[in-house]
Amino acid sequence: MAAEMMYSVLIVDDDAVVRRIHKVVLERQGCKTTAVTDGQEAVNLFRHGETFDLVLMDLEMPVMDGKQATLELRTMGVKSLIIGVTSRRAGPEVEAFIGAGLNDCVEKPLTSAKLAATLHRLGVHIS
Amino acid sequence: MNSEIDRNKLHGQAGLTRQSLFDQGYLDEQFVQLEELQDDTNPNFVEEVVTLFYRDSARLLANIEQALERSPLDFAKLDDYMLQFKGCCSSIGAKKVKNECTQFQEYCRAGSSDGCTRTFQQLKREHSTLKNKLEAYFQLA
Repeated sequence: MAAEMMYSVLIVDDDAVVRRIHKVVLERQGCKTTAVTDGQEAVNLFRHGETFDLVLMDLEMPVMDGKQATLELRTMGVKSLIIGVTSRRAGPEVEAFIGAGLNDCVEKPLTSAKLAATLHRLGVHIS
Repeated sequence: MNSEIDRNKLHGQAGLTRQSLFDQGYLDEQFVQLEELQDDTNPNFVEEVVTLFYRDSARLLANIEQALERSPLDFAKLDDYMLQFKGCCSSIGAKKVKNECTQFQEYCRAGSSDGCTRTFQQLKREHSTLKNKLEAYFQLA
């Protein structure tokens, strides 16, 4: 599949284990992945003109957390799907995270099945 | 032929070692998810992820240890640190370690310094035990 046609995903997480797992889960689905370690790096990529079909956004990160990064991306007019991925169960922090502009939120760790179910819920088909 | 018998024996031992990790509650279904991601493109994926986990978790445990030395304890901060560490444990299916994380968080909510300190020691033991068991398993696998 040509690289430019592949579904592009930005993985935003300060945890190297999670970045590695999500990368393999997504590449197995035929996605092209880029990974950064905090929200500020994610925002900078979009500011520099990069685009992604999907952003997997962790909540707790140094420098800029996922909620702030999501707010900034939506304020910039970013239309990419943003799925929050967090260790937290449902609660006020997760609600605030969703309220920042997420399309959905899933509990870590992301598995192939969770990813497929979430994308199905969002009406996304990765070809 | 002897080497084939030895290989079969090692393979059998690896299988038994792996199963015992599940039977004894050290690992959960997430570890199976990692195994399913291992293939020709990522032939050492599981060992690689476990190695990353132990590298990163050492740093997280050091943060918690430092926070436990402060007086009075900041239970909210400890809970946050532990949430982060627990997330790491979930990623590799480290079930017993994760259970100790949950216990620690309960002691944080209860404001129990003794409970936190005791549970943290147990958590470190489980963390170390799992490391030894996984290293032994990867030697055979």
